[in-house]
Amino acid sequence: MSIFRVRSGYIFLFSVIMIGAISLATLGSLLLIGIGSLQIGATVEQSEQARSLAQTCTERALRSLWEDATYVGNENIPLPEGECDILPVGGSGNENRAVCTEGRVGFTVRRYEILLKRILPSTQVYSWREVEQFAACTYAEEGPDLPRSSSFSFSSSSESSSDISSSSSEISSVSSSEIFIDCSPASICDVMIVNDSCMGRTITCPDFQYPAPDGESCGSPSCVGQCRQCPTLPTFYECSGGEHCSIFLMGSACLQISSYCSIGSPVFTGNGCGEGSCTGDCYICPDQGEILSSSSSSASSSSF
Amino acid sequence: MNTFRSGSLLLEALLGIAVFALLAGAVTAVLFVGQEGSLQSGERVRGVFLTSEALGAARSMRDTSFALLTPGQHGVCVGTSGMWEFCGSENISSDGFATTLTVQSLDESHVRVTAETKWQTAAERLVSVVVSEELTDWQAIKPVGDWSSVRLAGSSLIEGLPLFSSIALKGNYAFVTSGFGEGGRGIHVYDISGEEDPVPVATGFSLGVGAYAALMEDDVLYVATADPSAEIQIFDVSDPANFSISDRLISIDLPGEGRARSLAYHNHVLFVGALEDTVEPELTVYDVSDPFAPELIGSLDDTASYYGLSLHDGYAYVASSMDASEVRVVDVFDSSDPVLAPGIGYNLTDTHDALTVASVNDDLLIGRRNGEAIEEFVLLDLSAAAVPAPPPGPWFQEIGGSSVGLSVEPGGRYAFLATDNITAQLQVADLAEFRAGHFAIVSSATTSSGGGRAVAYDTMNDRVLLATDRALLLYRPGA
Repeated sequence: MSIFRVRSGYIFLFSVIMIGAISLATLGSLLLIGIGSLQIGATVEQSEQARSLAQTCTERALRSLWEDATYVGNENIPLPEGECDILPVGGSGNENRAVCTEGRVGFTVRRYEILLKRILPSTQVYSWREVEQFAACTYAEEGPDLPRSSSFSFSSSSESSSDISSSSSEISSVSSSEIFIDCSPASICDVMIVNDSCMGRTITCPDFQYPAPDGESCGSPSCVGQCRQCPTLPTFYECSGGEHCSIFLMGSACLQISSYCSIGSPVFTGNGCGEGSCTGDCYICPDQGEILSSSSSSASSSSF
Repeated sequence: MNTFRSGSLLLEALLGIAVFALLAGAVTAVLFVGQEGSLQSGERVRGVFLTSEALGAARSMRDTSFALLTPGQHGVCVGTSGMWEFCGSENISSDGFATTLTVQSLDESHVRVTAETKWQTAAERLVSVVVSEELTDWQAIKPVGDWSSVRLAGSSLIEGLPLFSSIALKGNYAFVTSGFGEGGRGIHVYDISGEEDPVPVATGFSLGVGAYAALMEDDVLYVATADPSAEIQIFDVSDPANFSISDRLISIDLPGEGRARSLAYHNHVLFVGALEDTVEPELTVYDVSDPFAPELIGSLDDTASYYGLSLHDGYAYVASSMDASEVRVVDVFDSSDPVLAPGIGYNLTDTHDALTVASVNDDLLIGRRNGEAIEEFVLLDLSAAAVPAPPPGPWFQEIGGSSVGLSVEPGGRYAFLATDNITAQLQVADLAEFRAGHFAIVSSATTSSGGGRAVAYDTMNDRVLLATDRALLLYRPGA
């Protein structure tokens, strides 16, 4: 009987300890949830401010271009809330220009890429998109001091956002779920993965040489590490039937053509509309639908 | 023994209850803290949304009219017209979020808008979200005067016969190419900042050879010269008033001797048109991303002289000497591999050379050498295809002389022609009238300084510079 009583006490105590452990775990979880929720709120706010900074730079760039078509961009503008960059303005003359801007608050980055049909007498926007990587512009080699830190913010989505009102890229911080591709010859890799860490580097290698895995120098062909898709060069792919390509490469420049081919007759590099596969390099471009959706979103939140 | 055991059990029980109570209290407290955090986060996200909406409203109003963004603190709402407008000094939502939009004028075309949303938390704490951005009036329309009449605003005459050939503008400076000798120095620089006569500057400059064409891009001037071993010369013109030969960055020896006649540029790529040669190419393409080290990246061998070049949507339109196709169309999507576009070009009436070409919107404008049986100014439509394939058009306009120079206002309303018509060296064409099949020339100007040789429209100041045999003349719209 006495043994039974001793055992009862321990059972009670053991139960209390178990309940306590469960309670502690619950407590920890709730604490983390609370902190996580607060972080989400702060990140959303930070992201909106970064977008506003990108918008500010865009507004300044467009006005500067309107005032002087030879405006070259390549500016870093510090503002009370953070900073924004205007990349070198693409194209030349009055038609077919590209403006790319980037707003940063902390580790949050938002980017706008605007293709202009013409500047004067009034600026006409061909497309206005929020993107995760610039395709129509390149970072200046000696331009604004752009961040290439290990926590460089990057969206995990591989598709560009085409709708301004719904875009929500760049909120997430760098993670292992990023999209990586193997380096291609002569590409510029600005972030290398070393031991699961992102190493910020900006290296331009000559043809058929690659940034070495440690990102320190250009080496011979084996790019062992994976290299994030370079934001400094446009990405190309081969067109297939039914795709619309509205922008093409001329030298290092992107050219738009104003007319679209119909579905089933993609635009070829310089050969007009035709059937079949596109043998030339075709710039990844928003298809007509995306552009239209981008334009239609302007009533609610865009600036054109 | 039994009493001891009972007390021990009681003590254990009390201890257990105490520990349990502490843990339960802590769990409850953290539960509330976590819930509070989630609620605060939700409220903050809502605050950000309302703030963002206010900024979006400001952008929408700016899109309607920049003048709507009046300085001050405002609330925003959707008006009866369905558009955003200012209403009151703040918006208060049904759940107690108060949003204000403050507009601060930075200059006449530049405002800073700050949206702030405030609310009270469950703990009666006042919290706010503030987001700011700048808006500019980049959608403004650059005014274009009524060019149905022109007036001479100023001129600068040179003794001799410099034979000006082209004009490149850089802000308030004009770089005008000329022959060499007889007063010509190859390149002449004028300060055109004033409202009256252009003022020659850098008068000590001498190119040493004549020049045919000039093209300005940023701070770099590209010149097509008659130098047999340095046809293309590249200058740094960051200091126009002190322009000197030491500003030459580098020169390019074009295949052949002194054949360069026309220039075009797009995004670090320079296109050079040349006189016909049986061996050498007529179109050469250079990568000039580094102006100190231009690199030949492509060429096209043709059977015509390339007198004029204009780039439009990935194609180079050429004013050429080809009798069967005065307008050549070169596919330059891949600038390293320029090829004649399918269809090659357009054959104008008779065989008179095309001398100059310009493009705007869907209009391709061509100026031709004088001929009794032809009209020297032609408009072709590019809306349907890159290679002109009328109808619609073409449209022809008699000029009464060779159309040597051509410049177009970016909006595509007016085209300006430099001609050797001795009674109308400057002619202004209304392109809408032209397309409608009406008489296109709406005004003209006469000068006693020789034939018109080059013309440039100054977009920023809505004025036209005309270069003749001996003078640089400045015209403005209006009587």
